[in-house]
Amino acid sequence: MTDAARDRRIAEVVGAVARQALADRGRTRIALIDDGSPEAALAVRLLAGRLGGDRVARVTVDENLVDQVAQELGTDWRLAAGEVQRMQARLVDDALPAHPANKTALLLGGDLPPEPLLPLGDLWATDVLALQGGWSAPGEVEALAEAAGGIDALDGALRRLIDGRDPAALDSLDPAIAGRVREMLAAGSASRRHPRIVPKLGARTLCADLYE
Amino acid sequence: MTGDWGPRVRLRIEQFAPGLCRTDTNLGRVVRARADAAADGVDLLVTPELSMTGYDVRDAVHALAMPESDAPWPELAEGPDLVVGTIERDAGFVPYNAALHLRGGRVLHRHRKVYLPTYGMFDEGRWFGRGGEARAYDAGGGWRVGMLVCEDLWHPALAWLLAAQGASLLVVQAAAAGRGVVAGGANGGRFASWGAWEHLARAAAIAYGAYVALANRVGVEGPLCFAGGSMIVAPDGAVVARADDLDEDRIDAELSLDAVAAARRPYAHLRDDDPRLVARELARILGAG
Repeated sequence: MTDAARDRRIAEVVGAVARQALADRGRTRIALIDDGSPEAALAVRLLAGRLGGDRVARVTVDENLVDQVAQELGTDWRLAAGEVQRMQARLVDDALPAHPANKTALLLGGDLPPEPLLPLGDLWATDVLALQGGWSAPGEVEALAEAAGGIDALDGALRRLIDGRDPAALDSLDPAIAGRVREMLAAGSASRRHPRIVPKLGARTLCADLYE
Repeated sequence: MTGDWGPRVRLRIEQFAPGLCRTDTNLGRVVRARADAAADGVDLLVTPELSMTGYDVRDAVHALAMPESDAPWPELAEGPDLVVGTIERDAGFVPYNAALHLRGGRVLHRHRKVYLPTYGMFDEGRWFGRGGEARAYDAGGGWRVGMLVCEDLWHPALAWLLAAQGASLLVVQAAAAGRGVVAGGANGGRFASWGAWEHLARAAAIAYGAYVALANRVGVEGPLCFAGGSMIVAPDGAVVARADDLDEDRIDAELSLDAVAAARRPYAHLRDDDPRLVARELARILGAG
């Protein structure tokens, strides 16, 4: 597959899934959390390219608002920024919130984001690098990639482990790094297994055996 | 065309995107396709797996399941033969993923999907009962037809069973999602997963000297993009028609029993096949268990 054909196919699939997600929910546009990352730029490019620019609302950081929230709650500014953007995305009229994180960040970054659409969630960081010229992830994941010898080494091991189902895939990494990767994968596994947790009390239960 | 098949048959695959649980919409879509097919002189119109219901029905399966009927849709009484995919339930209220060959609105033959993928992204065994037959049938004009649904093609014994009953045309419905966009290989921009489908379809055609009409769907359900790429394979293994990836499309081919005969002349695989040997060995293998 040529790079151009691959890029076109990625855009087709991401756009088609987003369009259907909007149709299924009766919404008209995507509210994309735009944290200034390469992922956000790529998500905007893919979604706007397929849906039209007017159907992608970029939710950027409102620094004044974040300052107030961080100060009021006494929390880390970056953390507050993410949550403020999340709230803003939910408040965009007639929109479906989306988070632009890549697959590497989602797998190693703890619980999955609560946004219903993760348009780049099946693209590894190195895929984003190839498509957009850069990549990003939470600080600890970026540090892990550096310690592993670069994102190519970390992603290569993850690809073999996840996509290739090779149980020995992490052997290519330094044992300490491999151990940390396992810990970080495990930290988010509960959120991947049960994105919503509804205690089963009745005969048919949301997220367990009620989908209709 | 009204089901009066001769030694040459015009087959069309209608590749479209059935709406999930939107049976009225899907029926309307099939009615329109059938009217077009009638105007175009088509003898057999093939639609994808679960074309009447959509694919990922989950626990709506019981609400969607129709009672088994010889004439399920009065709206489809006119026009050419039609293969549709639907959910029907038996007398014990078990729902099946079924392919129905309709002629004049009546069921000429039904195949209930045998192999229900229940692994990876698939969960069919949770919702459907498993079919228990693979039968070829006479469609007129000397044609013997066998139907399979999606995963059934990945179990070559089923195609072999149909060939052993004389099938000259294998109709395969599919709802195959596209996989392998990034690691897609050198398939000219096609999904990597589709290479395996083409191998399977062509291998069945070559091994049994039969046409294979593989009707896949398009559209999106949740995170899945169905891959399209429907194809009609000649008895010599040549892909004679191929639909677009991802987009709705329709492809036609003129099928000929002469081509079936021609494909079987250079080889004698089908003549030399020995079902009794297979039966003996299977009895030994199963008995040993």
